Formats: sequence, structure tokens, C-alpha cells
Amino acid sequence: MRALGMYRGKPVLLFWLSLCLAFAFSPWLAWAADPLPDPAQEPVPRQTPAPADDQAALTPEQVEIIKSAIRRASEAKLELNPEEEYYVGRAVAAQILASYKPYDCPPLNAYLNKLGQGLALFSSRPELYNGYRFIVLDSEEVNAFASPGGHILVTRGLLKLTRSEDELAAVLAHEITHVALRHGLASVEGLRLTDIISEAVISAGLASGGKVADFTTAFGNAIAGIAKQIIVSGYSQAYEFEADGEARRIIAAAGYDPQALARLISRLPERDSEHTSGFAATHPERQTRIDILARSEVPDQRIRRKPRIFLREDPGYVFGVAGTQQEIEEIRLDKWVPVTVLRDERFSAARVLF
Amino acid sequence: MKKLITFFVMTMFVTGIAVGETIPSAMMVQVRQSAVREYASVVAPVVSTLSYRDPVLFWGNKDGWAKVQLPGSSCIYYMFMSALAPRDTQPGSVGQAASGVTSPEIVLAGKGFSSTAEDSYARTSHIDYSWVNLMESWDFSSDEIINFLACGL
Repeated sequence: MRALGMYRGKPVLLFWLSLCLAFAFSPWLAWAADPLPDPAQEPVPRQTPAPADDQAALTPEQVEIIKSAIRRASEAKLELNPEEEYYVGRAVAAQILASYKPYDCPPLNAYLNKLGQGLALFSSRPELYNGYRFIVLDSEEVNAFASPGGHILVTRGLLKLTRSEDELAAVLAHEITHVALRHGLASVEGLRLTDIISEAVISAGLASGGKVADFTTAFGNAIAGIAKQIIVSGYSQAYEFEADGEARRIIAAAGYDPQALARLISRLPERDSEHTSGFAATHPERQTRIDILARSEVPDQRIRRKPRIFLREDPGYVFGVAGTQQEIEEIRLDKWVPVTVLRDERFSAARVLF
Repeated sequence: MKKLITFFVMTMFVTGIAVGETIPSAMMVQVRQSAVREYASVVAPVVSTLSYRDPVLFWGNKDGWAKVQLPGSSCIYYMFMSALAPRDTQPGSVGQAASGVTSPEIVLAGKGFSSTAEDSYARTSHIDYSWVNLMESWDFSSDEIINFLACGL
């Protein structure tokens, strides 16, 4: 009471006191005012596919909403959310797989997925709507494709060019970057994606009251445009250089040799009139790529994890792990190998499958 | 006593400023599955896995990692920033359509892409999604991936 009495003549100080208290507790007040729903109690409807009725007519209200969405999207560059991007990517990947035969080799595809999904953790977009997926294509052509939703397809021809897991990681990191930075959607023949979609939707007669089937036409046309861009035209040189630089950073962060990409590029087929498809046709000249890579710096962001030393017991090829020399001595394992050796052995085992 | 109260007021003032700078915002998961980790590292233990549209309280972002609080928890955890979107970016609502297309589907179809459009597209264009579906079934746990990268195993 005495204290309060002391401040009776100082309302400003009391005002500050209450302001500070309110400020300090404002996050919790906000939380209390708008608590997050408990998913168990308030189920949010998932986007389960509705039964498609191709001939069902859209209501005028729906048509207006769609036209409004197209109008809004046309005014600014189209931003697909991860889920929309995923559906585009699935369709583009399916188109590519219609042109290239997949390589049905589960151990190799598993190896590629573990490596690729690990590298993706160090990309600028580590998590996509349904993650990064990798598959080998049964083709001798030196090529790789990155579909917008995270489906990455690499030919056996390109795999055969790699001489180490570091180089293979460089290839995958380059393609991961095309996905992470949305190069596929951003470079559809220099047009905005909305132009293609709008045109397709309008030509499908949506403006006069469309049907679900009309969306399919619009969807198919847009997919054909994106797939053509990825398969035939490739990305702009600026995107390729960006993917090279970022790939170098990713593999360094994941503990691989950042020089591996330049080494691999030096062995890629040279761009000339003979190569009308594949990497040579869709990528910048290799010396230019190497020169630009040499000028970029690689920050030291390597994966930090203990233990970093790995032990191998003979016979039986059993691996053990230890973090320090003292631990090695304590558990009396007399041989140790660094992770790079294990990676080399793993790559050699996988290489026979290429 | 006067000094003590002045000290208390000043402490609260400083605390107020410090806490006030990080007023949290409501966000939601925008990917199918996202790992919540104990600290901001890919090798950090996974404490929970959130699903599409699960809510979180977002406390800040550093180096691509979002500092989050889960409903019913007072702890701070970490997620990839790319897995989150502001909570109010829900697709627009227009009610269930007479054609059987749901509201989010309509908005998506407005841009041309949805699961409904995909079903119809697959039927009419005879595009085979079986290998794409197979690709998406190749799942590896976070531990498998990290062991592969960091341990060479």
C-alpha cells in the first residue's frame, strides 16, 4: 500500500508499468484470443479428389470465380502453391516417362533417392508438397529432367559419365535447384504460365459456361507447354548458371567435394550442331559454366555431426562408429575408415548397375 | 523500496521490448508431411511430424529454419521455413459446387491444376501415372537419409 501510495502522484510511471506488462504478455494474450485449433477436435477437410463429372455444368458463380482467378493471376506472375505445383509436376513427369522408358532397377533407384533426398535437405527449399523423388531413365542419352513438383529423372547415359558419388551428387543437386527455384514454371517460353492457361480456358469455351472437361483441356495444354520447355528447349542460361552455383553450395554443405561439378561438366558432350537433344543442346557451353563456377565462392556450411570417424571390423565387414581416438581405443577396433571411403565403396557397388 | 520498484519497472520495460519484438503469428503446414525438430539442424532428433494444414505458432525465421510452437505445447521447436505458409492463405470458399467439385478444387481448377483435373486428364490423354505413383512410394526415414549422407551407411 505504501508503494502504491508512493506512486499515487506518478500516473505516468504506472501507465508505463501496465504498458510493459501488456507488451510482455501480448503473445500469450493473442494466443488466448485466437487459439490454434486442435487438429484432433477440429478436422480440416483434406483435398481429397472429388468424383469427376466431366459433363457437369459449372454454376455462373463458379465460372465468375475462375475467370476472376485467371484475371488476378494474369495481372501478376502466377504463384502456384506447393500443392498446385505438385499436380503440375506429376503430369509433367508422366509426360516425360511416356517419352523415356524408366529403368526398372530398385536398388539403383533406392540409392539415387537416398542421395537425392539427402541433398535436398540442404537446398533452399528442403520440403516440397510431396518431397523430392528420383528415377533412372533407361536411355544412353546424356540428360536429366526436373519436373516442377520435385520429380527428377536422370538417364543412364548421364549416370555413366559420373566417376564418383561426389559427381553424382553434383548432378542431382543441379536438378534439385531447378525444382527449388521453380525454374520449370518460370521459363515456359518466356511467357507467363497464366497466358497459356487463360488462352486454353477461353478456347475451351469456359467463358460461356464451362464444364469440368474444359479444365482438363486447359490442364493438358498447360502441361504440354511445360513439358516441351523442359524436354526440348531447356532452361535459360541464367537459370543453368544459377543451378550450377547452388548445386556447388549444396554438395559442399552435404560434405561432398564442391569441385565435383566442374569435373563432371568438363566431361559432358560439347555443345555443337550434332547434339540436338540432351544436356549438350539445352545447357550453356561447358567452358563458360566452368569459368563461372570457378568465380563463385563456396561457404563453409558442411554437415556437422559427430561421430565423423567410422570403423570397420574384419571379418564380416561390420561397421562401428566412434567419435574420438580415445573411443576407438576403448572399443578396441583396430581399423577405421573415413566416410569418403565408404561413399566410394557404395558408389562402386552402384556403378555396376548403371 | 522505491529503488526496488523502479528496478522492477525498468526490467519489465526491457522484457516487454524484447518479447514484443517476437510476437508470434499463426501459420500452417503447406506440405504433406513435415518434420518438427528439436533444434535447427537436419541431424536434430525429430520430435513430431505434422501434416498438411496443421497449425503452428511461428516465432521467427533464421537461416531457413522456422522457430515454432505446437498446439498444446509450450516448447519451441524447429521446422523448415519452406514447409510453412501464413494461416490465412486457404483456398477461397464458394461452397460445394453442383458439379461435385469442391471449393478448393474450383480455385485450383481456376489455375488449371487439381486432383480432379488430373483424373480427368489421365483418362482423356491416356497418360500413365503408374511410374510416377511408384516413384512417390519410395520413402526413406529421416534417420536413413542422414545415416546415408553423414555415415556413409
